[in-house]
Amino acid sequence: MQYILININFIIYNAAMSDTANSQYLHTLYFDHSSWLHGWLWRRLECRDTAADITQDTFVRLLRQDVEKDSLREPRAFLTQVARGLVINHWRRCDIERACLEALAHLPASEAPSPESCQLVMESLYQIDSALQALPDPVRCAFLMAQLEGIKYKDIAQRLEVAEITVKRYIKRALVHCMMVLD
Amino acid sequence: MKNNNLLTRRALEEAAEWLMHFQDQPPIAQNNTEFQRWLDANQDNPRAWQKAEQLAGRMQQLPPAMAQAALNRADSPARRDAIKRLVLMIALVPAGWAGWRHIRPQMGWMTDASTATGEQRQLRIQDGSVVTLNTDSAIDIHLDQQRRLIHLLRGEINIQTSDRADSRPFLVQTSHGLMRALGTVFSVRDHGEFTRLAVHEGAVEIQTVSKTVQVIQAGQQVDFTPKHIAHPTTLDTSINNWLKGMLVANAMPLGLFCTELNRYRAGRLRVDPAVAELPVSGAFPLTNPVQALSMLTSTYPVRVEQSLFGLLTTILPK
Repeated sequence: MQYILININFIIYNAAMSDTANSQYLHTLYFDHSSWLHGWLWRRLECRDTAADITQDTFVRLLRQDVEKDSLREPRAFLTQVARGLVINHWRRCDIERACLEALAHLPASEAPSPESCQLVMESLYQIDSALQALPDPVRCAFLMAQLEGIKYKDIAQRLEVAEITVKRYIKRALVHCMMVLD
Repeated sequence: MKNNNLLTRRALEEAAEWLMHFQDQPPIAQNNTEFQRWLDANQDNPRAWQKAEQLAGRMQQLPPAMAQAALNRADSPARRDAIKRLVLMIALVPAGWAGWRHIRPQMGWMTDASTATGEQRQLRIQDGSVVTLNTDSAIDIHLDQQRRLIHLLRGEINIQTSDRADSRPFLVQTSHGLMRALGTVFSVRDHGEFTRLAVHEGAVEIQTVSKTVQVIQAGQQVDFTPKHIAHPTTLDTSINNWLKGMLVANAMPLGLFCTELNRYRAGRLRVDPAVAELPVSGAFPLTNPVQALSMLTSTYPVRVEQSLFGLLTTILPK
């Protein structure tokens, strides 16, 4: 716990925070609530090692948002909201990693990408997956069928049981969304 | 500023249309001229096109097997369950019950308690009620002026509500719904996919997440999911024997018996399918799982094999 305290202090002091009152507030929040949040996460997560990481990430997130002094009427509610989102992201990352590793296991050695490119691929997949999460299922499915599997629009229309023009609308929507959200 | 964004969005949409056009049909000469005209039309279009090409390139570079496995994955039931539990972190008070409102988590996350594998704990909470936690269980306790709430996060608890007069409703919440005690002794166990409620004295009202309501009387037990309450059945009184540190089996299939026993011990306990259906009867000590296993091997035609430095125990035919 001592180590974690030193860590977050280092981050806070090095952040470009205009207002020292705000940084004091973040300190107070950390002292008052970080071990509570750690316990809260620890009790809810099957994989408990991530509790410490997510606790830290939650406060880092607060840091980036430059929370105003005394602006949180219910700090614990706010912290759990932030933490909850981070846990879901973390799980998504785990699921993607697991799916990739399983797919890799079935590839012949000659076709398998190098470990470094695996990492990059997984990161890219995670970002694309994040972007696609915001889209409704049929839109996402149509997009993936076209882009990943190269299925023709009229065949997608048949599979999804919609008109071809709807498929085109879906794909356009997904493309625009990804273009706006990804860099 | 706003105008700028609108233009960009339109440019992106047009770029997407061109991308789809080129992807669905190979480029023909006259299309290229039209395309070039579009590119030259303003400053946004080439920038939008660059984004479109970048995206297309990125998708194309993904190794197909990995991309499909990752992006087309279906969440396992366990994962969906875990997300559900996380989302229902704050007690949602059903609108139907009078005088209640959303709990504000800041006031009253007063206590929390958990047990490790093989541990049991009894707590007396502020109002005089007694909560006993079974192995590997965790609860949050929230008491304020309006309600007494136990949030069962994992595992199994037994509740004996206080006989002191208290106008505040006594509630137990799981990811499947909310239970209201009508002055009683009852036990609740989270089985992951469903919650099992057993009422020993008094009555308990269930309200599932989907707002299905039913009252369960003493001598009954029932399973419920977020959407559905099953038919109540007669209370199996052995359900509470863990309070006395015993696992009482009555022709229980060995596989099921071992799943139960393993809640109280570290490591994995596997059962060979050849003996999984063997009916087991008797009273086994939960505080001493090693003894329970040796009772099994001396009574039934099975043997125990340890591996992985004791982390994996397998039960096989003798």
